[in-house]
Amino acid sequence: MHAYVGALPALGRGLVTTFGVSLAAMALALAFGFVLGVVRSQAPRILDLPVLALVELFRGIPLLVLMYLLFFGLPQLGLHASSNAAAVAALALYAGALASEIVRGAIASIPRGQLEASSALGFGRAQTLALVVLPQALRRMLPPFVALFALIVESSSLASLIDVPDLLEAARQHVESENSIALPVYLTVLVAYFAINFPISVASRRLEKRLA
Amino acid sequence: MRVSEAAWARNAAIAFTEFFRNTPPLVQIYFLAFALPKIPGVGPYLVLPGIVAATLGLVLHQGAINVEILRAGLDAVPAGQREAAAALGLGRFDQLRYVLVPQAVRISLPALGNNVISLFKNTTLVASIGVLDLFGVANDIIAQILVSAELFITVGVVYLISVGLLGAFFRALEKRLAIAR
Amino acid sequence: MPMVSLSHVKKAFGTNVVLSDISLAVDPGEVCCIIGPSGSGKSTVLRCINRLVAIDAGEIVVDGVSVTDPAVKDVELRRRVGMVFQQFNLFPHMTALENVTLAPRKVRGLDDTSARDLGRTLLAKVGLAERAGHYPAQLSGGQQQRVAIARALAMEPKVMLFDEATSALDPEITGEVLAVMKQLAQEHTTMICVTHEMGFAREVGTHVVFMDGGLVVEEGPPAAVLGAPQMERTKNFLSKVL
Repeated sequence: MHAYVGALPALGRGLVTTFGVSLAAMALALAFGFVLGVVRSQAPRILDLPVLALVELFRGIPLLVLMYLLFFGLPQLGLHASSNAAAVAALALYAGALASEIVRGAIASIPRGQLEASSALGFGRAQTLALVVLPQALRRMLPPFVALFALIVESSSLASLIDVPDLLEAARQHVESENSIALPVYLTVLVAYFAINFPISVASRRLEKRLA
Repeated sequence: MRVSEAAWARNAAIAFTEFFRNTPPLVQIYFLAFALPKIPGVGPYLVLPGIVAATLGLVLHQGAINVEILRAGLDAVPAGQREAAAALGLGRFDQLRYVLVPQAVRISLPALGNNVISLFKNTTLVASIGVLDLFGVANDIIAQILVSAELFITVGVVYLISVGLLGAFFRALEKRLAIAR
Repeated sequence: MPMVSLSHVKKAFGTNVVLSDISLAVDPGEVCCIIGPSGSGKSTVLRCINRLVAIDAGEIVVDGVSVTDPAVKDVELRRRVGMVFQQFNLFPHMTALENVTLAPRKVRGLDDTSARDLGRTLLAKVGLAERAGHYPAQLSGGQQQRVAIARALAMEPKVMLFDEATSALDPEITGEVLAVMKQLAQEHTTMICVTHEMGFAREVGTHVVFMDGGLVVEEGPPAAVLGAPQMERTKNFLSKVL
């Protein structure tokens, strides 16, 4: 038990890193996804295809492969990125692709009738978007975005495999050096992730019910 | 069990589902591989070979997600269907088996397809505990030769193609099973 | 001995009292038409008879079997009572024939061949013999509802409940469904119909019940209730509808 308690501060620091990485990735993903999503919803078919390809690319490759690609690949291009940065970048690209789908879907779900009424009143496309479509679409985007954050937190555990000092990595190192604490440590880690993700999951579902 | 009318069954199912759904599969795999053997008493009997732990971890995680998907699918079946089935005298189990679940599966197919693709991509995690999958092999090669980026790009492309094929398969399946509404 | 009898039935959903005090008796072979404004509890009455909804107080007896007695299993009741819904509720993943034969096979225990024969006979009866292999999506609303009637009849119930069976249909199509219902009435099927089709009630009904606000306001033979209503509320309702 002594060793377990001794490991706790390190686990705590790891948790902070996990949060940091997740939040940074979420912020970037939101920005990336929002811009991309709006563009896709407005743009004519021609522009749609390359953007669609990009989105499918980041969704289709396993996140771990993406992380490794960035971690090993960027230095080859002359960009030296820390493991944290590579992890955040990979998560952001991956989640960004998902976010753009969410944004595009929410915008598309606004009934045509709204657009027609809007034009009839004399609003231009940009105005319609800003005043009519987005305010409604934003409400519909909220629950899936909350769920996306939970996904990011969960996926961030992969960062441990490229040496990011997150919660899982801290756990793994301590277990490696002191085998007997494997059970309590990993149990703690499971509970920690659960304690973070479960409330988020529930919140997302409650939001969905209330905003539906 | 998840939609059972018996509260105990439902709650047990919810507890299982929520726990395995909301925790990272990698952590679950590590737990199965490294922590299980340390359980006092039964530990030594629970030493799992790498591939078993990895597979089990993935099954638990993605399985729990599937439960949620199907539950949502069941919820989406119009209420009148259950009423009609009940009015004909079908018991709860028969209602589910002949009327509700077939429709729920068709409704859930896109999400289930997505989950299969997710599972496929998550197999990379098995490399983390030394099992050699596509990703693990690549990693191995890198350790020996150090020609990394190209290798990972190749790997990425292979995954992409596979995912694309899986996706196409599921879309075709959806069309085939679609109930015109 | 009435086929269906309700005594002082009460039902509330939360704070909303849907049935205040309903007492009703339907004799064998009767065609009882329940009319009234929306929200008067008409559909709820039907659902209480086959226990799709549990009542809070009162007694319901169907063909000698008590609905309120917990020892009586759902299946017992539902074998005696057939129901046809406003939204048809056909099972979309099964053909017309499969829809009709499912319950006879699973609940009555018929073997496949007997069930199929029964199914074909009933589909022919409602005029849809050639559509047996079609899926609901390939059938018009009127055809779907007729399949739904055949499906309910397949259980050989003692009572048939119709919950606004024609309300979801286009006016030109209601005729074909009403014709089937009329045919059933002529065969002395005990029927309880919640309906807005006053013509049907007058022509085919033997007992009209006007409900409003969870109570039976007026009841009697069609000529009396529809032709010469006594109560103010009945008159009001009819003047809006007829």
